[in-house]
Amino acid sequence: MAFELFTISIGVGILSGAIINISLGYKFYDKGGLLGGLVVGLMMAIL
Amino acid sequence: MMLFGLDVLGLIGLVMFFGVLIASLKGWIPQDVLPVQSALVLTAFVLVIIAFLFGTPIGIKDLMANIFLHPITALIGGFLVAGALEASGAFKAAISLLERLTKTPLGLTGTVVVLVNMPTIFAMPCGRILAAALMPAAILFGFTLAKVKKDTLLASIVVFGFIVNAAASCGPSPLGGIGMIGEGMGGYPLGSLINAQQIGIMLITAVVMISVRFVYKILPNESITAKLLAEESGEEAGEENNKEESGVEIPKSGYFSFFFFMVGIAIVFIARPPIPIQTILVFFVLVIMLVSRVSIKDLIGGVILHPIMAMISGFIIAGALVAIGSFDVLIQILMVMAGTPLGFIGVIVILANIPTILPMPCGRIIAMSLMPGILLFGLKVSEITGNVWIVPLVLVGFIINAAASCGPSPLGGIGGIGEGNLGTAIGISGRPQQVGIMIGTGTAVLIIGTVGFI
Repeated sequence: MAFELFTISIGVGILSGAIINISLGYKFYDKGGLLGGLVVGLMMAIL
Repeated sequence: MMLFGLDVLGLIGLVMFFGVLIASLKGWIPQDVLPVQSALVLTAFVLVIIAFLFGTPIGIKDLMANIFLHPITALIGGFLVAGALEASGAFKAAISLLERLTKTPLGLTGTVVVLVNMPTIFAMPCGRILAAALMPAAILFGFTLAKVKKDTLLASIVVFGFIVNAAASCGPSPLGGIGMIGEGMGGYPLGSLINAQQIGIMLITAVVMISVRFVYKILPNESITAKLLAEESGEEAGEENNKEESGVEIPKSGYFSFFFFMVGIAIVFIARPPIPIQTILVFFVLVIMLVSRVSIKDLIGGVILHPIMAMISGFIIAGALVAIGSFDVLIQILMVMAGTPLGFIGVIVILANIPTILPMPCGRIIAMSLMPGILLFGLKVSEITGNVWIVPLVLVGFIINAAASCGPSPLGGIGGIGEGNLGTAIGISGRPQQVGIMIGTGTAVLIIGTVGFI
């Protein structure tokens, strides 16, 4: 289950990072938002 | 006595319960005179009298039978930890770490993504704890972005994204969150509903932010914007001087408490020790107290009565509704609805979204009141369809929705904190939050339905 958890959590994290990028007026693929989403997804999966 | 095959007493209970919720929301019951929690307790006592008149008396024992001490003590334990963290400077340490994060490859946008999701990463037992503690950071980053991009709307986007995340964060909280009550009632292991909720909340946050930008366009008050932008320019000019002059240094014990809490909670969920969560929380409190010299007064200061009272009133009205058979009537009505084109799925969708349709100032009110009914309906559908995952599926949807519902509540919900800070109209952030919560509810249910407990 750990694999599914990390995959889904990081995937949704990156997706939400992309959405937040657009919300803040950046391109959806802006590095900051995607990395932020990755960090958040990872932290949610670990914690 | 029966009416259309439904027990009249049970039906009266159900009508009165939803009547009180709707009347409170509509302002027909003035909240400054009779808050919804008190109105529900009063309703429970009125139901006792009506039951007596119907010749089926219910006693105080029946009313109290539904009050579970475990979630209440876990919630109090969670508040003590929150109080210890606040007093030790852990939240200030978190803000300071966020500021440093902007200098990493994450930059300002990446830091904002982390900031708006921070309440759910920390997951306190009540979203108000972090909504208040981290709001200065949300304002700071929101207005910094607004200045960089020359668009004040960005401040609202950041603040309301953060607010909805904080509101929903009491659902997956391991410190006596609403999810723990669902896990206990459903007989699932501790933490089994947490991950699906957290993933759903990430999407709720993103959807709220994008809908504020493109659909609702909630602009902060002009005078507040001008004041904050001016303050920020001043801070930038004398940043170094200010640090030295004000002498506001975050103690090392603040950083210790922050990391101790994060690592401790991670270990609890990985190792799953066979110790009650309350004992673990008390251990956390003692360690933080010893290291950071936090006083008992600081701990008590962390206890918020609002959610505790919300929970107790929910338990009492649920006890009354169980005793007079209202949940049996509810199940009968839901089964009839399931026979319409809505089907079981349609009914589950409506049921899971009831808390946000009737947003109470604390999600625990409706969560505790309706949880037994939700569980019974889930079991019934599970029995008919043969799908054992129906119960956790309905529970997770209902719980995440209930937890987040205090965000858009016009009765003093968490959304009001953001609206007050931005000087917008009260209740204006309700709609985008409701849209986000609907999406997040579906996502959490989808995760449990497709991959089970993760």
